[in-house]
Amino acid sequence: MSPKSAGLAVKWGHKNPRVYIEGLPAWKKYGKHTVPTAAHIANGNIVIIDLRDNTKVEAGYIPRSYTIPMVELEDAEDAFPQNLSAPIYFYSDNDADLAPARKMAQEWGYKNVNGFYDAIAMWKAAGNTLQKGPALSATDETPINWQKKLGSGEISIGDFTKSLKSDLIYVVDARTPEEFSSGHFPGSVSIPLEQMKTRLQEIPKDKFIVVHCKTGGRGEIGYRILKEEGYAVKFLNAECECDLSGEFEIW
Amino acid sequence: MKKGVLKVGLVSLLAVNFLLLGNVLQPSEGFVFAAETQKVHAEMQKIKGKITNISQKAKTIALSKKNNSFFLLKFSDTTTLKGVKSAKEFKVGEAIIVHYTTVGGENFANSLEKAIVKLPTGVTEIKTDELAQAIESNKDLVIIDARPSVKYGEGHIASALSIPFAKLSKMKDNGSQLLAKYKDRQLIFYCGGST
Repeated sequence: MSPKSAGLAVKWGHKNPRVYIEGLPAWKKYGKHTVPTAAHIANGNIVIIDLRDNTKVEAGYIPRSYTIPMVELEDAEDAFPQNLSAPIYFYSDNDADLAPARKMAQEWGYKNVNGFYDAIAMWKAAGNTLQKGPALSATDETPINWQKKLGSGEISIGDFTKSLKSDLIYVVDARTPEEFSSGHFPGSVSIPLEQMKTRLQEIPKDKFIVVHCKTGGRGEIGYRILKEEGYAVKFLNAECECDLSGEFEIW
Repeated sequence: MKKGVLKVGLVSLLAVNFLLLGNVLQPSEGFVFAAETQKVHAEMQKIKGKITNISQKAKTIALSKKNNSFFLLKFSDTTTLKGVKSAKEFKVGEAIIVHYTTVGGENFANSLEKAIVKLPTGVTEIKTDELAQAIESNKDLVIIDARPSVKYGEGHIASALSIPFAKLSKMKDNGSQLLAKYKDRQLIFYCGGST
């Protein structure tokens, strides 16, 4: 994208525009951070965590924040959202806490963890006010509730679990035969992704199809193949594990 | 004429292969076999596209082409890799150039190549440390995030402005107005890596 933008700039008479080809991945690797917009902090489908001590939090915090003081963070793993793809933004008045906090959440498996530097000043500079009183709290019993917004073609974990009991649904397991034989969803049919295109005749056109795999990656490709073939299809964009007795867990 | 003969040859190869397997429910093995054979003869085609999905386990890549259509591709351990050491280095969002052969309606990659970003004439690259220093020392920079505004919202370089490429190009020459006020300043564009 950026080289093309720079090309347009040249066309419009700008002298020697430059392109940072390596882009944001290299910027972060270099140890630099990025900043979110105030709009994203206000309305994004994200989890905001205030690492300051309670007295400071109660005096004024960014709305929608959960309070988890830095000293309690390492014991708070179970209070974090169940879904590891939840976008997490840590902030504090001591920005030195942000890097270790990020590292900890990443070690727990969270894939999208951000430090929100200089957060309170930025929040105020954007014309927003702080909220007073106790912030949201999370415990092991009532962890942070974050719901993924379903993307195009995705089925929710709840709907998928319900659909397993329905005859109208045809569940396609896109994993390898070995993965399938070590445990699979009750009633699901094994069609490894690499065979999907050549085994279409086995997949009924009059049923609602759901494709899944271990993490959602192969499931999404399978979904796209079947959609192009005119199937009514969705995919499970979640991680799952099934055992031989038919018990399963999806997160 | 030669092509016709080859096609017949392939069909009978597949047929024989199915018969040998004695089970039409395992066609993928048949196709892999046919693909290996076909590599020697069939005409190779080339496509450039952006990776929208990649599965290392199923060795399958989905590409989106310029017209937003969906192109499915399989690779194998014998696929030639260029610009990367392992297929694991290919990530969603990256542009790749593929030479492939179509067999039985499926596309098999002969080679996968990381597309190198070509800079337009009059544009130069800036590296990370130079950019970091420039931000420290030169207050007159205009850093522009070319990604969609949602991505900018999630996180961007501290002093950057959001001017998505899609917006700029859609406006045709009116887009110049978005940049006009920065005419005498150093523009630096960036996005999410080699996309």
